[in-house]
Amino acid sequence: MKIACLRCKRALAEYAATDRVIPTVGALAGHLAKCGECARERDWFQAAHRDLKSSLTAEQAAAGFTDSTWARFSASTRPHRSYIPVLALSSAACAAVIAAAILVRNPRTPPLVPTPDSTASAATKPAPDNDIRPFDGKANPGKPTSGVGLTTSQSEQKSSLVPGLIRHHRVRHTDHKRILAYRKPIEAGATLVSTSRPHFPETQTISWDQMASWYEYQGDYRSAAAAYIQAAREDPTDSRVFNAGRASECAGDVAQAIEYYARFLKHEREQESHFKQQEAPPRKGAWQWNENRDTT
Amino acid sequence: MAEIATAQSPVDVTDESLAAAACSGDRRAFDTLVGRYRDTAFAYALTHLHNREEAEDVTQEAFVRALMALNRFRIQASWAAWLMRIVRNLCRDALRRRRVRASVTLDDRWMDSAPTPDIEALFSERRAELASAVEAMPEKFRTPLLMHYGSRRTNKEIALALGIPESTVIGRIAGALRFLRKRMVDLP
Repeated sequence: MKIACLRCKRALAEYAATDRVIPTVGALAGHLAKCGECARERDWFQAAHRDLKSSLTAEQAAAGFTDSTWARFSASTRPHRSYIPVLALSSAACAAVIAAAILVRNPRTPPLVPTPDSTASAATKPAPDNDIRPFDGKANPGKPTSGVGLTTSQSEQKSSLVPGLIRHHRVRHTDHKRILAYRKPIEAGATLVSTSRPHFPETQTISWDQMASWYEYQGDYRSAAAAYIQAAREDPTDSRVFNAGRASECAGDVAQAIEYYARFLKHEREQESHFKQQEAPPRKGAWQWNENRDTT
Repeated sequence: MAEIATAQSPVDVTDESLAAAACSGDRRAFDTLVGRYRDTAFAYALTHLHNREEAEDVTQEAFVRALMALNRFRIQASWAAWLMRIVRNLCRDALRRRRVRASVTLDDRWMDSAPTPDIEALFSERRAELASAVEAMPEKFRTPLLMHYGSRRTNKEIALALGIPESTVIGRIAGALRFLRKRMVDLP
């Protein structure tokens, strides 16, 4: 096939595609007049164009297409009822109920607020070294608002005891377990931290030993030492004196530890010598009570 | 915006103005806009889906989506081209849902159901051959051919629907005719 014929066929297809009439003059018309094959191609394209136009008919859109589209569009633009506010309100109500249930089930201890009375009394009457008092559930006539106060005038660390309800990880299944909650003082500069009246007046009496054990369990060896010392002052048993020294040693107060260890050893020596005196035979020439003296 | 659409002649108003007016509830603007592109969009959908109801559904959905998402439309672009892109995407989704393209014969949907007796007599045999040739045609040739001869769409409208230049549309229709010529060698 000649190049002119190829170009002619392309041109004929494009004339058919653009619905244009094939020109009767010009280079294309001259080639069609000379080339019989291209003339047959022209006839075929004209016939195919006519056939396609007459036989291919597409369906048109329905008459109510615009109306139905408008109805669809209007339905889409209609504001939908939003369920978000209802869900938010119900969620908030549920959260509030749960929070209230938790608060009722596990009430918090009142906040620690230093009272001016206690601060003033502490300022006017300095507390002795490691002066701590256990709370016995009764109102203190001197300080009516104070519950349990711990003042370590020489130590830098101030702490306070608040009897109340706290949950411990070991006793979390036991409700209303009353143990002492250890709290840091609120104000760093306070010399005396006083707490309000205990939340539960039926709090049972806590001994110094129990308090010291609790401090020790919490890792507060300085307060534990103070509690053991106070216990030893009330009743200086060997174990209390020794524990006071041990807690002081753990707290880093070496001088105090040595002092109480010395007291413990001294007391032990005294007891040993006492027992020896009791067990040793009477010295020669010593006076002895003899019930049968008069008779003899 | 509604005043712009109704005060001027509908021919002068741009598609973007009409779309904005339609979004604000102007029914006349909506009718004008739908009237401009309904047939082209429907022809493309029918060419691809071979189902009248489905093609109408896709065309309506495309109009609704193009109007609803007008705030996402870029001013520099053509709203009609955007609409046609939505039509194309919806057709693709519909075909994907269908998985297998419906095997509707060309005679059922595209051939004239009531031809004149002389044409029927003259071209009855050749129509069957023409239909089979169009069926066997590649998609890129068949769509512009059917839109051109069946839906009577202009090359410019076909170019808009397909998202290709008008010259490419002319080339594809010419290629479709040459394809038919190769298949129908017995034609005079």
